[in-house]
Amino acid sequence: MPRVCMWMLRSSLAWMLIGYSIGGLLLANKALNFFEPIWSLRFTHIWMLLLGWLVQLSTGMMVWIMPRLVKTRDRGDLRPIWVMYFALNAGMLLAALQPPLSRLIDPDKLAWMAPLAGVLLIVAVLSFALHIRPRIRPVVEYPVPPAPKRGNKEST
Amino acid sequence: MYQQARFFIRTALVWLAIAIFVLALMLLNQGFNIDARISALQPVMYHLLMVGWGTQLIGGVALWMFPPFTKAQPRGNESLGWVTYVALNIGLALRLIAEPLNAITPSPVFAVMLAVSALLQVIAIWCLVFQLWPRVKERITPLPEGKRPTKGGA
Repeated sequence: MPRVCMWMLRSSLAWMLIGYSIGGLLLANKALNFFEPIWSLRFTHIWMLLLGWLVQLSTGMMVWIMPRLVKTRDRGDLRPIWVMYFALNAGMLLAALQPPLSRLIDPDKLAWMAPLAGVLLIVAVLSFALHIRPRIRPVVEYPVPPAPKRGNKEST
Repeated sequence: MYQQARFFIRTALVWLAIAIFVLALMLLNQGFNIDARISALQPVMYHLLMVGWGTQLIGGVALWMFPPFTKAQPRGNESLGWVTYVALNIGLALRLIAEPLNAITPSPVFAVMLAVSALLQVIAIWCLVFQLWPRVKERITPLPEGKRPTKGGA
């Protein structure tokens, strides 16, 4: 598994852990109503699980298991995936943290967060498409070199 | 595919069928105004799809496909996987019952059921992550002679 996939899969597991824990708190609060402001974390829960976990896990798995390039027989240039990794996580965090932070800080001061998150997420998806497009192809059967002949009794 | 992964994937399919049934009921209600209380199923329907179907299917496939932990113990600590399976499904079933009922007729019993459901689902996810985390790793294979590493890492 390439290193960038490891980072993506581990980050997605970490976001799953955090996102589900927030979801558990939201559900418990729905039942017991112990802390009303916790509802500001609803979109944090949604973005962490949709983008941080689901999108990151599925794209990380794709980079790992999709067919390799025909010419080089490897996964090709993985730098766009590193760009995607940082852009996706930064964009997701900005989108996820804006609603709860708006309860603490003047929302006008945080107005930049959502548009920047949008730009970062577009960068992420374009970088991913740039890398993965040539790898979406039929599987090519590479010619298998003939097995070395074992000792032939007739010829010896 | 080993037994634990089969349990996860088959149960995910069951939750998918239940979620689609609930969704169909909501859509029928939207068209024919059968009973206003059916709309209380909306939050639980999303979670049946995302937790019961999505998470459980992904968890099952990941347990099956991720690189082996060790040769002797390829799937890591399998008991964590069983805790995940039991806690996730009991938690979700409790939610399916308690969330709409608590919305229609709030009562301490349903509230406690919902809180237990939340706790069970969180426990399930923590166990799943603890089982999968050590299996996300590189397989160190020597590069063929004369081959340079890929740009951006191995």
